[in-house]
Amino acid sequence: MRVVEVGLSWPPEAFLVSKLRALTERGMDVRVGSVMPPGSPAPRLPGLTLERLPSLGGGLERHLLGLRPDVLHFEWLTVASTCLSVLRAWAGPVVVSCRGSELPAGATASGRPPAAAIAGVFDRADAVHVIAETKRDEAVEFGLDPSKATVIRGGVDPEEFRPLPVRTEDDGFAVVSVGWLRWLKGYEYALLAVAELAAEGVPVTLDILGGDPPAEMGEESERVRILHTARDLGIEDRVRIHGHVPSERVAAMLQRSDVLLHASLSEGLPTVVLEAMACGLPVVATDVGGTREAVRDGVEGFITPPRDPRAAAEALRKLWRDRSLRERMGRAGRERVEAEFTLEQLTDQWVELYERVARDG
Amino acid sequence: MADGNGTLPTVGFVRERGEPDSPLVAALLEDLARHGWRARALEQAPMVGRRLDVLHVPSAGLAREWVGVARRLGARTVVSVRGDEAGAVEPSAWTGADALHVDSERLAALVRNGSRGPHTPVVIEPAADAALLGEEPLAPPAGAPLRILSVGALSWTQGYEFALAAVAMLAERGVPCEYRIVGAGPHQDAVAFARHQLGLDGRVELAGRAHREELRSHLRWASVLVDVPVLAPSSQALLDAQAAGVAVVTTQPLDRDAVGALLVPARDPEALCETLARLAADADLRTGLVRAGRARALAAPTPEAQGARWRELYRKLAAA
Repeated sequence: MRVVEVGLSWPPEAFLVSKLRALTERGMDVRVGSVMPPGSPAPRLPGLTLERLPSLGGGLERHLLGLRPDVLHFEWLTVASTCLSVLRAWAGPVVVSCRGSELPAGATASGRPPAAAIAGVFDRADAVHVIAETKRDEAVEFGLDPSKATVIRGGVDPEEFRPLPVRTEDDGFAVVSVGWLRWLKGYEYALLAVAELAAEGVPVTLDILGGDPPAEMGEESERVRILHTARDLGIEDRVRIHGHVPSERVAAMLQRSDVLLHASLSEGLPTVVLEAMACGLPVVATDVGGTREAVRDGVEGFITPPRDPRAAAEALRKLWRDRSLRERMGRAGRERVEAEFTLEQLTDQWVELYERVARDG
Repeated sequence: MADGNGTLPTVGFVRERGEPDSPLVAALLEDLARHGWRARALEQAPMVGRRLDVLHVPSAGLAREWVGVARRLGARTVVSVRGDEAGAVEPSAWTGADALHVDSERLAALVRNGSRGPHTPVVIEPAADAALLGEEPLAPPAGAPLRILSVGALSWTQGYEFALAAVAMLAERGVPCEYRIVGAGPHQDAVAFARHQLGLDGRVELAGRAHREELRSHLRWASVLVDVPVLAPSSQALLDAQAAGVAVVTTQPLDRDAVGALLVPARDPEALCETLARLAADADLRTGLVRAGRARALAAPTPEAQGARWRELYRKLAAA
């Protein structure tokens, strides 16, 4: 079976690379179609085949048909909404993913597809993949027929992301946050929570793993805001921004940390939460998107309201004071990932979806 | 009333494409015209050879592009660094400018701390709006909701997400209130999303950028101005509100700016909510603030005095 993934950046996000490689290992022919500036060298990613796509007005439809896909998959709703004419011109099976923060909640969000385009995409798609049940409910409000929705949550490789007992009592309290330096990630609230602990004398540090958003996101980086806030709160010596880091370094950093703090304001189901759980880290995360579908409050970590740094600080405080609680929650997280969120389980669900859509249209 | 000291410099003001002039630029264009100067707003670089002695860039965010333009034209430049920009815009943006302008000593200190360049900012304080000062402030009608106003660029430096959280708490406490934010900027999505996430879609208006007269109209509507930046205060917005007889709540413990204003910590929605609830419940407190604020606005520089300082600066730059 040939699946053509349309409109991915190259190289794709780490979680997509893992998924696509796993599909390739199952014998699927996966082509990643990206629009790239002419002449730009494409980095090689073993196991993945890149198709340079022409632009929308430059023969995209003809090019895609020439690839003779069994299924066209748009991993990003935003991309699908700009390719509506292509989708309507092609009679074959189409899958569209609805992840993260692409639905324009708040109505005026620029850079996100207009509601009419979203409804058009949902109407044309044969199947819509949603990353969490909460995302399905949101998508239904934008016109998705619930019978088209398939929930496939994230998954991680439990071998790559695994616990490593490298922390000692003397290492302080290492908090880590992972994600693009975007306002949606709520870093200012994370800093306020960390500052509260620092003011109480807790030897807390915050490592932020995340790069500036790429130009296509059309957003300012939060780097200056984070640096200013850390300075303003007197914790600049406790906060480090590492920039974009490859997934193997993410794993190593998670293994060296005590807790993942995910202060996001909007999410689908954040992969990093699953990665942290797989590494045996307790998670303090905001109650947004499908996060609650992975982290049960008080079991694998704590769920706090978004924009509430005091609640996040309280959760961190409990974890700092009680090492056995950290260990218990970390173990629970690892077990949950092994039971429900492995890459293998994820791949099974994708193969099943693609086969069903290719068969039934 | 033309200035009569020889040839007057020609001054250009950068205007963002399709956007209205800022209150400062609008006031300066009026002042210069009154004094017989040649001045005009520019949305794109004029042709080389057209005479321009001084280019005034009213926002640090525009400096990187326009300082180079001025140099090619042989013009001197002054860049105004706004409260929402100090600390947020890289100081390298104004490298090559001949002068920096700020509107308060606090902002000057922030710019000095952040900039490694040779610049000592010139402080020219805002002028009180004579039109607003000439009006008798209207007391809010009995039983009217608390009308909260913020004015300033939609930037993270303005602390709008915390102000919105405070308004959500206020509404939850059953205090009748409406909130209007006047301004535009790169943080628009974040502000709009916060409004939505906090359940304030029907209570908060994002009014966009305003012309001077529209701004006056917003001030006549308001009963309290909330100015809660995490950096420097919006001196012009504070003064305009005080001139209009609007109570002020702000974050900056400046002696001067604190006159006629209630102070709250930055990034503290609970404290802001508490302060707004007090204001809603206590007409005497509001009246006292309005009286003190009007007195401060009356003592502030007049537009004529402010204009004179600017003309002096433009002359010096042109002669340098």
